[in-house]
Amino acid sequence: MDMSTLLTITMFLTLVGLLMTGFPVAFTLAGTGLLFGGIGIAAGLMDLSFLEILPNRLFGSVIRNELLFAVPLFVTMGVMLEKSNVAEELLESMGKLFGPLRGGLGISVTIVGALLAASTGIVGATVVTMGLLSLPTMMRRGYDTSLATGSIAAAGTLGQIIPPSIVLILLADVMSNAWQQAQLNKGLFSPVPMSAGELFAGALIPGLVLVGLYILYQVGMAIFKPDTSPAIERDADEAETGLYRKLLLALIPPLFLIVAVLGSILTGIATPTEAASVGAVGAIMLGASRISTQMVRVVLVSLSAIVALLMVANSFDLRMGREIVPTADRIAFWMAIVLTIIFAVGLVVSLWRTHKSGVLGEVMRSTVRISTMIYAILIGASLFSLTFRGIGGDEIIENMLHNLPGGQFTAILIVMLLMFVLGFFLDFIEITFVVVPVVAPALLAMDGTYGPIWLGVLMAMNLQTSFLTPPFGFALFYLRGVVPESVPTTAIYKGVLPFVAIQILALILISVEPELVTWLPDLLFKD
Amino acid sequence: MAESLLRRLDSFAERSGNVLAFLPLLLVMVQFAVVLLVYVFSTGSIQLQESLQYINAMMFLGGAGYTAFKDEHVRVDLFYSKFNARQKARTNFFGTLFLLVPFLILFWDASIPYVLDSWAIQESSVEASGLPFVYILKSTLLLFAITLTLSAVADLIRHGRTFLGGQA
Repeated sequence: MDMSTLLTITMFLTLVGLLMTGFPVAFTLAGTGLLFGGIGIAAGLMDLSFLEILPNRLFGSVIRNELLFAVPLFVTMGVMLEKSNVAEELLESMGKLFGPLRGGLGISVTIVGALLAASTGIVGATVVTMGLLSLPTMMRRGYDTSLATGSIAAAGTLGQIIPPSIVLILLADVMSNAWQQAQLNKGLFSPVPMSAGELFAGALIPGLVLVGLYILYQVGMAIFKPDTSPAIERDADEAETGLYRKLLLALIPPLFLIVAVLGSILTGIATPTEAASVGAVGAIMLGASRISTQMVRVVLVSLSAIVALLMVANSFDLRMGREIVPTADRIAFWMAIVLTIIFAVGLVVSLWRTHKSGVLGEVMRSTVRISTMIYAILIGASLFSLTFRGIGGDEIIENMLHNLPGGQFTAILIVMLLMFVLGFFLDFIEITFVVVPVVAPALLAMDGTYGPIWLGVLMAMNLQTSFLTPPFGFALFYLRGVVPESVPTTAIYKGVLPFVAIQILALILISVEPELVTWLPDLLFKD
Repeated sequence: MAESLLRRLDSFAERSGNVLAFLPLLLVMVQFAVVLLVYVFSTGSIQLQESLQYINAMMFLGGAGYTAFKDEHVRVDLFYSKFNARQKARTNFFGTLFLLVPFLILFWDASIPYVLDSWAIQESSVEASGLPFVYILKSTLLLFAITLTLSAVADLIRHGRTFLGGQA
């Protein structure tokens, strides 16, 4: 074994070992990177200038990376929806709507989990929120503990694979770099790019397939084992008509917001970053409208202004810099200005009211911390991968993967198994920044793979499965934290196993039927 | 002495969070304004678009120390969550000393010349109509170094004290 191989292996093992101590991941990555950089320099494999390009690296691919702006924007949206109790009400209303059906409560949990995808995208948050909100109700109404906890854990992880999730944005960034590199290595000097929108489109159908399979399982349980998922009787004091009105009011605005954001990305109208800012503004107004009926009116007026604004923009040419501007366009322009001002006033009032209630400050501080945490890992991982490349690690991995017996199939299988195991102790973000850049270019360069979108979705779903798998799955740890002591851990394990089986089924499905992934992006993005 | 330094550092970190909290809000507003300009008024401003880089960079680079103070840099807590206070302090003390501090030294060492070079030529945007302040944008790297260095000093005092068991 030569020096490079030895160092590559030790470097990975050291990283894993140091991470286990619990020191923050970002700094552990950076420190390990530096340590092995030092060793690499001493061994004559690389020189110091290799490490000193770090600031340039960070400037070029982190600071100036416009796709990553979507991260703080989506975090703002998710945290706002969470802190202004929109998510909570969504779950409650869904439960009331579907509760009277047998198994309805479990199904609501699945659907809300899917919708909350826009939320932080960090497994823990969704699982904890849903565990706190729905588990007590489910247990009080006599749901089978295993089924209830399993449903919650599984639904909590859905947020990763269903766009627009933050981890998919990060994965898209890494994957598109890997894809470029794979093509360059093959000698294609005008590589075809891959966008975040395409990855979103690719993940949508597999994500919905998962939701469908989860629901199918829950319906099956309700039919064949009725005691596990009882129906919930509606409270007598709730008048039928008033109830439905309330439900619709709680359901439609967040649904509309999520569909609008996702829709504008998938149809290619807006970039993920642009759509994310619209989502964040929408979430702020939605949060404001929860404060008082007066605010509902303010928000409705602003929204009407926006709708009118879009209509004006569609019917007239509002560019005022032209040589000759027809009078009609000029009038339309001033109308648009007035509408913009009306909207802006509404937005300012919304901001003011959410600020007064203390929500805005809390949301923004939380956004700073979550975004910084993600970026810090990216910075640490940049140094780690600089060194890793410096000591020749990526070539070693590439040779290893390319020389496996069984070719591309074995290579992908091995990488997937490795990621599955890593998923037990590393979060999606770390795996995306550390493992994917190393393995993806090699895999994508092999003949017979179905391209970066397919590989990305396969990886995302694989990790999501890992987070769900006993005894180490992340989601289970978080759930254990919010589930009452009286529920044995084995009940959680038992409840989640059918969902793991569903995940594996879905993984096999997209492996043998890659069109499930590639069909939608091809349809939407290739002309 | 160490006690009052620690108090000052912590209160700095706490207050920096209140200032930083304006940045994501500004980011949302500016990006939204860009969207309105493009999709409604069919005009764009490269300067406005580029200002997003500045806002975002100040937020996530300046937020490093604040996030560390709030203990929200994610950890692998398989074992850590079961540690007692003293074991946690030991992990953090040695982690800071042997992983974070060397990294910060490299970071300072590499970014100072990088930033100075940019100031020396008053580096401007590559876009002709972009913002001419690239040297300021590059300087945000130092925010990361400064806030994390302060946080590392605070953590060394805090955890060193707990893990040595005395009052320090």
